[in-house]
Amino acid sequence: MDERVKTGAAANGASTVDAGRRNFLKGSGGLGLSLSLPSFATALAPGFVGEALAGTKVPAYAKWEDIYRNEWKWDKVTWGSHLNICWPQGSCKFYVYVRNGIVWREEQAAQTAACNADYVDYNPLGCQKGAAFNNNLYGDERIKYPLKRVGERGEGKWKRVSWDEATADIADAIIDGLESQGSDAFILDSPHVHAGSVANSGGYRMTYLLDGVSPDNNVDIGDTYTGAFHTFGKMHMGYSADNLLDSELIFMTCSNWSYTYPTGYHFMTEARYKGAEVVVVAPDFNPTTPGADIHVPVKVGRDAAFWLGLCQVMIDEKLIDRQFVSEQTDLPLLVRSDTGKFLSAADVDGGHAKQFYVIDEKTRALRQAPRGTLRQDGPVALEGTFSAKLHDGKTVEVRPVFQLMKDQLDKEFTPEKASAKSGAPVSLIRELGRKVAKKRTLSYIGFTAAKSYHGDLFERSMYLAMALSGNWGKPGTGFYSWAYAEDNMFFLAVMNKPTAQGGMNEMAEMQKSFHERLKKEDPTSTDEMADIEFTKAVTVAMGAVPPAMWLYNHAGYDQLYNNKAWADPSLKTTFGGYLKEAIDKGWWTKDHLRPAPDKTPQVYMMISHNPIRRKRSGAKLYPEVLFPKLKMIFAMEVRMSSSAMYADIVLPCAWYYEKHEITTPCSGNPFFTFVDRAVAPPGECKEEWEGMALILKKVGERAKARGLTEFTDHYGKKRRYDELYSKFVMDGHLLTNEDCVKEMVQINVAADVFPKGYTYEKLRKEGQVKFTSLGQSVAKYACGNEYDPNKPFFPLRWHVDDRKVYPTHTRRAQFYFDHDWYLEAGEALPTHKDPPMMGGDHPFQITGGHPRVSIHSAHLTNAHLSRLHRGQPVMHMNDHDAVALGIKDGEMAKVFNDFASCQIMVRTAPNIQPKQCVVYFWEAYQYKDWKPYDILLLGIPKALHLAGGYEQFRYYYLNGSPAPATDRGVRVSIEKA
Amino acid sequence: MKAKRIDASNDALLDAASPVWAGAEGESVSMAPTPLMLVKEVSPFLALSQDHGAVTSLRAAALHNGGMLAIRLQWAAPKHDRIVDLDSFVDGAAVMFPVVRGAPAATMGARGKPTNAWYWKANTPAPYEVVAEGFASVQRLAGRSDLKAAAHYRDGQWNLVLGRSLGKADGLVKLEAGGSTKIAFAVWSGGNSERSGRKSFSGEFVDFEILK
Amino acid sequence: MAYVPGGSKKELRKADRQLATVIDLNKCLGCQTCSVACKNLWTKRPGTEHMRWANVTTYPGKGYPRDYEKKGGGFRDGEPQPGKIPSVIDSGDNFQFNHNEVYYEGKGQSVRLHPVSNVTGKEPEWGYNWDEDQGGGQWPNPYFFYFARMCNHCTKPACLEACPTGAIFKREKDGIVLIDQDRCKGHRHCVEACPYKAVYFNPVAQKSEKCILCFPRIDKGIANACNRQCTGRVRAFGYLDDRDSQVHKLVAKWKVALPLHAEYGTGPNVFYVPPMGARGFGSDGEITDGSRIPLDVLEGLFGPEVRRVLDVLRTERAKMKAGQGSELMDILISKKWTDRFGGFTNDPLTQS
Repeated sequence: MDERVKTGAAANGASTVDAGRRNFLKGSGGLGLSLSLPSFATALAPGFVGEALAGTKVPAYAKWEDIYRNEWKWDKVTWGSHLNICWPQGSCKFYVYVRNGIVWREEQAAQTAACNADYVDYNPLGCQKGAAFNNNLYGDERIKYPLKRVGERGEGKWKRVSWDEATADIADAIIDGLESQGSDAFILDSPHVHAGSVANSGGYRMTYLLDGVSPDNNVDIGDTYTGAFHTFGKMHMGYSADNLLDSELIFMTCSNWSYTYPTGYHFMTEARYKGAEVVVVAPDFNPTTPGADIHVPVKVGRDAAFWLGLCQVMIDEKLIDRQFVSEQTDLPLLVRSDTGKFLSAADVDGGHAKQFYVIDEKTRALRQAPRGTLRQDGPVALEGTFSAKLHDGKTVEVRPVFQLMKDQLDKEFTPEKASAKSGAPVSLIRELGRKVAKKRTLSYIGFTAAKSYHGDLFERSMYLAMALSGNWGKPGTGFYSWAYAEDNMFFLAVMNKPTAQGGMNEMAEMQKSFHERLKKEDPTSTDEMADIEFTKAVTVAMGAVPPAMWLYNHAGYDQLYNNKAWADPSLKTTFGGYLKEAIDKGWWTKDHLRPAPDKTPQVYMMISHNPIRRKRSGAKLYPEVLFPKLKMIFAMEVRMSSSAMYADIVLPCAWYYEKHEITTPCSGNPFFTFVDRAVAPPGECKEEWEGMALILKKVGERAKARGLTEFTDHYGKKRRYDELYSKFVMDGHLLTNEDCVKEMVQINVAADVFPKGYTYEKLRKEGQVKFTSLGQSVAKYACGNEYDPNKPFFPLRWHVDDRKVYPTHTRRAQFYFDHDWYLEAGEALPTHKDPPMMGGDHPFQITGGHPRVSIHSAHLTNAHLSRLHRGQPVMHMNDHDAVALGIKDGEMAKVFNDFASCQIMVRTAPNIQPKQCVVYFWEAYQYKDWKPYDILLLGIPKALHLAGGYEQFRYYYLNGSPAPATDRGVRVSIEKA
Repeated sequence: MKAKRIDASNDALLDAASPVWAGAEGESVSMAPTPLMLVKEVSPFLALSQDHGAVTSLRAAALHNGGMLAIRLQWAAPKHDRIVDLDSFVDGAAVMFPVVRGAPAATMGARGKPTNAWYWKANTPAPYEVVAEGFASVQRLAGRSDLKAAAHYRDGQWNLVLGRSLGKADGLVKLEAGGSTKIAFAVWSGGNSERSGRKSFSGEFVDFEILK
Repeated sequence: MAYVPGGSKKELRKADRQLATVIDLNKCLGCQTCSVACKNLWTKRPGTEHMRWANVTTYPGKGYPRDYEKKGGGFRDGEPQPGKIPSVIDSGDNFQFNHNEVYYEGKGQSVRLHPVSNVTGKEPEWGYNWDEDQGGGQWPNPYFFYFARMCNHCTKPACLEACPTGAIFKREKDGIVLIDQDRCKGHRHCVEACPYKAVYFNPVAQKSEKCILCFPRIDKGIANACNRQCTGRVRAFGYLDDRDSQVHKLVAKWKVALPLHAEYGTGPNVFYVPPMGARGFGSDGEITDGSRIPLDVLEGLFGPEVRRVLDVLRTERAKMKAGQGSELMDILISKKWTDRFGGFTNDPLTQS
């Protein structure tokens, strides 16, 4: 067992045990403390014995204590963090301890103060992964030298090559792609930010310069709250973790903080001690639930019915906040009974198509709902049936959305019916409906909502409950912890020159021009709307595209998306059918459909990202369909991922503590944290930024050698090969990570994210800075509240206090979509639909998500962390289900559906709901034949999300478009392997 | 027991199978479990031990060559010479001498009446010396003697020779040709979780003569 | 220094003051940051790899080391009880992995990265935290909570009583129980005697080792690693007699923190705030007001005081809900994290 020798703690070799029979001492330190008696000294009287046995041994005590004291020693301590790997939760400030040139340990600095003395502070802030990260630096998964594939892809046969040789191969492949078919040959597959803020910007900057394509990371991984995006016209509306303390009722749903937000978990338990009730809504009694008061055991994929039951109770028992509902939402807007469309001024007097109406409660007459403000001119009717006279002379029946909603709730979602649909007990639906209405309520809805086929319905139903009870835009309310100021990454990717030379001004000017243009077109529009338009333009320039179409056209996902047996039966056609209609209607253009269907991706770049792990069914479809098309797959990696195993070239990169970096935080923990270069990276690892610059330099060199000077981008414009490098490094301004961090500090100062006058030197000294605002990019508007560092942060205040309108079709939080597709599909109102039979007619539904001791796949294969659990993939299933299948805890099971199968160890537990099975993910190569559970997951996007031509049905960077990651509730069968 | 002087090299003495040992007067020593009531003070938990003293008899013999005294111990036992798990123990043996007259063997000496013992453990290459004024004050002493051990396990039997130079003392028992002292023996059966006071013991000291 | 010739147990267990820890099971999220913090600092040395001085497991479950509650030791009615020594596998094993084989040996998909037991060289059947998240009860009323443990630094340590060589002693100044690594002969009577199985044998050094309560940190005024690094803010630490410390207030004043298995008779100095638990469902499937964690389960761990403690927690929480405030809840919340550490608040930047 060679590998055990290689992975041993030390190489001294033990001599005291039979290593052949038992291995547990193998590789340990030998008989360090053994005693021997080499020689006989001078004679000594028996009195010596007494002395030897008496108090004279005191010095020896001090000596043995040194065994331990010597562990508490180091050469230096620097600042560290773990870059954006857990974006909403991260930015933890760590001390990094270096001894003999090695990072020996790390410990939370614990200097993240409370916003003010009335609130809980963030300390110690840092989890098990962070506290053990040094083990990753020196783990066996670390890549230290450039590798070139010499066997088949995925075979694991490599040759060590130089950076020069590796980058030349990559450069030639990039040039080949550009020369053979223009721009759509280079793909940066949705890099995750965990390579670092600099590396992330670098990846996009490189793609931008090469006119490459990058399937949108955030949409690709299903971190898009489509329900929010459609209801509010935006989704990045986070709060700070201490906002929980202002709440009286906290829902934790579609999430599992115990695993995914360990650093924030205490805010939940402390809010509970402060008097708040904590409710976990989840199919299983999940690992967060021990800290809760109530578990709502919804059936997998049936959350919407639970929330709608609460809504029915609130309306039925007349507990709703009428004022809030009237102003904030579209619920008072009138809908024509004949068409199902909003009654608009175009109908009534030939006016604006998006001018909608309400009924004045006193006069019972039609009144225009203001478009430039949420404020209503007096009370409006929520209930009733009315008639409206149209300018063509017709009279039509109209009803407020509220009335439609109420009718639907009374018909389908009484507590009894909601209970039958959702699995939540009737008594809980009643109790919680009443409580939501009366209490300051906050929810944390995690990305399981975004990863459930009808997750948008979960969300819309939950927002409806919050709307009816007036629970947003106030302290202690909100939906999730995911607001950010990422100006440093966003702008570094696309700026043409340094901030000091006006680079940011240039961007600001561009942004301003969008604002001015839109205001001119529509004086009731808001800066938020203009900013969305600006972001759309930048998105196109960056080459970010909706990922579902890329997968559909190029990676073989059409066979999944168009499978009728697995589709939502209420849809009129296949995904492909909807896509065609959407393209025909111009909702999706060639800017979105990249690479174009008639082009072939050729060069595929990965930056610390692992599609074989995370692409649903990717471990099957990528090697079978996508990879054979690719002429070059290369990975800039720190560790050997399942995806890197398939690469043609692996470039070794510097990991945390080995490069200057800065985290880019979210509002869950609003601190930017500096990461110092505590040690040099091992072997030939380089900063990603430097590696990318080398590639682009090589592209210039190889083009020159091949007699080429320019290529044509997808706008038809010429770009010069020999300018790529100098543009990337801004003419030598950005050569190293440290240069980039310095620039990022300036960007953040220019964007008001950092205090005025803040410097790199100050950041380096203090290690951390709290954001002062949410910056100048989209997040600022999405949150709809100014950031006050001295208070907990909550979103949407501008809308509630200032009555600022939402960037939606109706300018209100919108619960009724009069879009044809939604009307046809019966989803105009928030409703419940059983999840489609994705994967076929199989009895179990699989759920899952992030594991406890790894963030994404970064820590999955680290030996140190893998010893904190069974060290291999496990599937949790209900103990009675297991008995029925004849499977015992610890045995292997075959899990399969119509598409694929895998083998996995079973862990039985009473806390898993019957007919549910739970897998927290693992690396593909941890499974037999490298067939991970992920290949069962399909990830079929909701075809309705291809809808366009409606204000909030749109795509821009990180937002919108169908998410090809809807894996929760996929159907499987299980049998003993 | 008597240690005869013979003309043999140290290496020959340290070889339990050497023909030189044919000239030694071996004795069969009867071994018994240590009475653990004696250790209740120092470890009431140890005093709970039962079923120790798996080895019930021992053959002991002694020789010297004028320079080194060698004591050969032989006993039948299953072999346990490795720590294979946290609850495993190894075979061992010891010979003990009083440092001053009147030191009690059963308690490994007493305050002011120390004993000196030679220890051998099957997983440790070198034997070591201890002095003790009772169970709780056993002190390992390094660097005070040239104590050597040679052990072979053959046909279900341990064959162990412990040897140390005559004459020198340095706080340890003084052993000289032509003198006499007392001796006692202990054996630990690793397979029976024997260690510390859990052992087989030969009982009170018996006379030990080192012939000229 | 408490070493006494002849090993007078009375002298060895003498302590002028006692450091104590309170672990709040309502806040513990099972994240293992404490166990990682400890392992990274103390038990990566040869022979210590299997040890988890600080550990967290799921309760109900077999605990760590496996089935420690069934392995004897401690005292009953003052009388010492025989005990067993956990095996390496009981103690968590130390899985080994075949990274190089998977990555570099050209075997492709015919091999998978997997653990093997460091003891048997085969697929492991048990290891540290093996029964994580399994818990007890029956659907729809499953229940579990996370249980963080460490050496209890007992007032009457069974390990100390058991050591025939006088190697185990309490530090006089703070009651930390230590094993003198020079005197220890690896006999493991301490391992048998400790009813919590918090002493571990180092087969390389052939000595026993255990939690040292991070004394090199404590000596510099820095809270110990498991307590300070606990991201759930679960733990309070300090001198039991320090009336300003949270441990004193929780243990002595509010009496809401209870020792684990007090019946083992060792006088443990780690105390637990018992879990309130989520509400259970009745036989009709509807919600009830009672906790789903059976009271007898908690009493089995923390004794008959549990009921009273849960009542106190409920009452004080209701006061908070009603806006009346509660000193107890304020302590359990600890707005200022540093308040948790009884004055051991120095940054971990002073080395030995």
